[in-house]
Amino acid sequence: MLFNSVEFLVFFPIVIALYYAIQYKWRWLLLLAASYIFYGSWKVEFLSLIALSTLVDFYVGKQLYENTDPKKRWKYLLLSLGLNLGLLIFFKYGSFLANLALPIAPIPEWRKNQIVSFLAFDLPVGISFYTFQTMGYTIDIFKNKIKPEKHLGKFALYVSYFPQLVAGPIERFKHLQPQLLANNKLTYRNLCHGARLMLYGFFIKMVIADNIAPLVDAVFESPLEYSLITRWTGILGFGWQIYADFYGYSLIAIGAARCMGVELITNFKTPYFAKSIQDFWRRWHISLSTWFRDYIFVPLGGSNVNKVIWIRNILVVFILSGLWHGANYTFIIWGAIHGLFYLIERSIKVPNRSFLKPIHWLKTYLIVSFAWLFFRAEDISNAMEVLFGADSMYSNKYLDLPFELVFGFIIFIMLELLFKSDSVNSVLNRTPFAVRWSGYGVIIFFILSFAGTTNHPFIYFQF
Amino acid sequence: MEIVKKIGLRILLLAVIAIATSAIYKRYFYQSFLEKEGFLLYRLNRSVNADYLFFSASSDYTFDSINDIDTSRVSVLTMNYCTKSVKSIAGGAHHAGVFKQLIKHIPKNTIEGIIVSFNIRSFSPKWLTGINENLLQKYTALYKPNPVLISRLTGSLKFYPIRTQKELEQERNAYFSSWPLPYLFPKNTVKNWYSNERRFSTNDSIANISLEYLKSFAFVINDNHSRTKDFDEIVELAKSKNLKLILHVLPENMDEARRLIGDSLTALIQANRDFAIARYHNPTASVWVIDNLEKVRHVDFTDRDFPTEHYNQNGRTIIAKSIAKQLNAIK
Repeated sequence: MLFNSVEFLVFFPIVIALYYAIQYKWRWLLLLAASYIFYGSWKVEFLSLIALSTLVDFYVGKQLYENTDPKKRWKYLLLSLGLNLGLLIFFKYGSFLANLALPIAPIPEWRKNQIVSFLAFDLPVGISFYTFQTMGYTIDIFKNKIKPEKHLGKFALYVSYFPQLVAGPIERFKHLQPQLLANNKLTYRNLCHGARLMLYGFFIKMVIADNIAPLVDAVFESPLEYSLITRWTGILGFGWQIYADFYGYSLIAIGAARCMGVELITNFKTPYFAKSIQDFWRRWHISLSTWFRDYIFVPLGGSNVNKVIWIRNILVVFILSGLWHGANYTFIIWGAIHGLFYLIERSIKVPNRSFLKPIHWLKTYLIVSFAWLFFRAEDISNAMEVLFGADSMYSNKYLDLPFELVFGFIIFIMLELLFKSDSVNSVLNRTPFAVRWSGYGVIIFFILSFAGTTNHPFIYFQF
Repeated sequence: MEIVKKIGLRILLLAVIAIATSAIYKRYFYQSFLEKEGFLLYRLNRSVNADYLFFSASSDYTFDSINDIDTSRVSVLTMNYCTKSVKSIAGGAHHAGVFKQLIKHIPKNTIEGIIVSFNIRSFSPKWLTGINENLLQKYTALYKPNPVLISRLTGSLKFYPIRTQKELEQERNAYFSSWPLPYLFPKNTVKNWYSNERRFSTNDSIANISLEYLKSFAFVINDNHSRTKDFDEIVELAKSKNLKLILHVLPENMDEARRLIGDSLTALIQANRDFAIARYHNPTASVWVIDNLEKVRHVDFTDRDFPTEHYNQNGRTIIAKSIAKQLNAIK
């Protein structure tokens, strides 16, 4: 069930109405049932994986809390990490690893074909998100930062809470669970704030991302037919497509949770206004970057180590964050580009004068966009084709930018500037009623009239 | 109470915005949207001055513009042999499921009739689960005669069946293994047929194209077939709109089907043609089925490595003459 689907537009109001209608003590059950319906709508079989992850981590969490023997605690932690990473590796990287290993494996060809066809299953939606969320839970208990949830059903709700289940934000138990179990009252403020975020999310997903997508697809599918400028339009376009797609999804998720009185963490803070790679990662997919910081970078020693180890730590984190997105060399290169430029920026001291700000911004924007080229490309040769083209007289096709995308994009940029220094709801709360509703009118007009009609599910669902 | 009042007021405002949007969209943007993304409906809206509308897939136009002297469509060629004006509403891989939605848009008493291609291959599992099916389902949703904004939203919210390539393939394979054929084993299903004949297991071009013919034509059309229901609905629509209806059974490459597979396959194709005639041909109800199935010979088909309904100039002319003859005969 996609957020931008008729099914969700029916499902969500029903859940909200029931949420406030039923007794507080049964809300967790309603949300759990809703979350499993939501997730099961992709494929019922996927529910078994999330249920397995839930059961094991619930058990591990309890054992970690009750046991004081360090050896036993390590064993339990390894069980949790092993299961979650095992699921991730098997479903996400199994086919990739098999393709690497099979050519040199001393087994007959028919057996190799059997293995390849066995591993050619659909990737369970959102597996990278919920496995990371539950691993965070067990690691936090291991570090004695939190106490485990005693109720299996309520823990299952933490793992599967539907607004953020399939593409984040990746939530911490300490932040999310008390809110899920709180007796949230029906307030106009929560409904209004949630609805505003959802509306803005629908706008940037359906009008911006879904209208850019066919243009980007055209360039990456046959790059040799396009000129240099058009190919770069495709690369820059993808940067905006993935931002609008993922930010739009996150806003809908955060808005949906807000309608129930739950505040999910902010996942984006106008990342394309960043003035360095470090700044970019403080603004882009914040829930993932902080996860890597807290559970990988810091345990590796963080910044309080010698320079060589620090460089290693930085590169490990960036390359792993690339790999997190999928089993392809292109994602590793994407992560490595970010890591390398991060290190270069940190090594070169550039004066932070105000007149240099536009240059820092432009430099960051171009590096990030260049890295997106690898993220989007099917493989490295596709990336090279998009980058270098064919240099022939036939490379003369151009992209026809639809007017609705141009105007929609102008509105999007204006809103981004408006929300740069404050949250969407803070800005809107300060805006006079008539102006605010005129704005809603324009946004709704664009969604109803100009939303893209090509079939492009949320990009991050595949991760 | 306060919250209900506040929400009520906002719902009212949203309703006003939606109504205003609908009016503005219909007045200023809908036609340009159709021109880009729903071209057949756009064309249909501009074609109601013709005598007949000609609903077809790619069989209408040429794929051999190098050898054809006259590259005209079948619909255009038809006008050379009759006095009626015919306008083409044709789109690649389109089938009766899409046509019926388009036909719903024809205003009553504006045209004399419609000509609809009866493509036997469009009933095959390969077409039902083809790579274009998601796109065709989108068109079907866009062309439904809903208020324009609802129609637009069904497209943008993807409120139509979307299946992954894997799902389509699984469905196709299920058809091949379960659809019964009126023969004894091993020809009782498509899967058994090709699994048990040695010639299909080799990997040469003859084996490949033979297999394609088998998968494209070895099936039996019956009352419950989804495409049959589409045609049933087209017949009803034509009746309700007082339109004369001509279904013309498209020529298939029977020479090649006979050469590659044999009479057991051509008999199935002929039986499916007979089903169409028996079910729909009813001149007293202004429905005519033209049987063109075996009128075009192998040399007039332009594709050699796949079964298609793509004809050269001669092939298209034969079809056009046949349709024109029927048009001339209609009083």
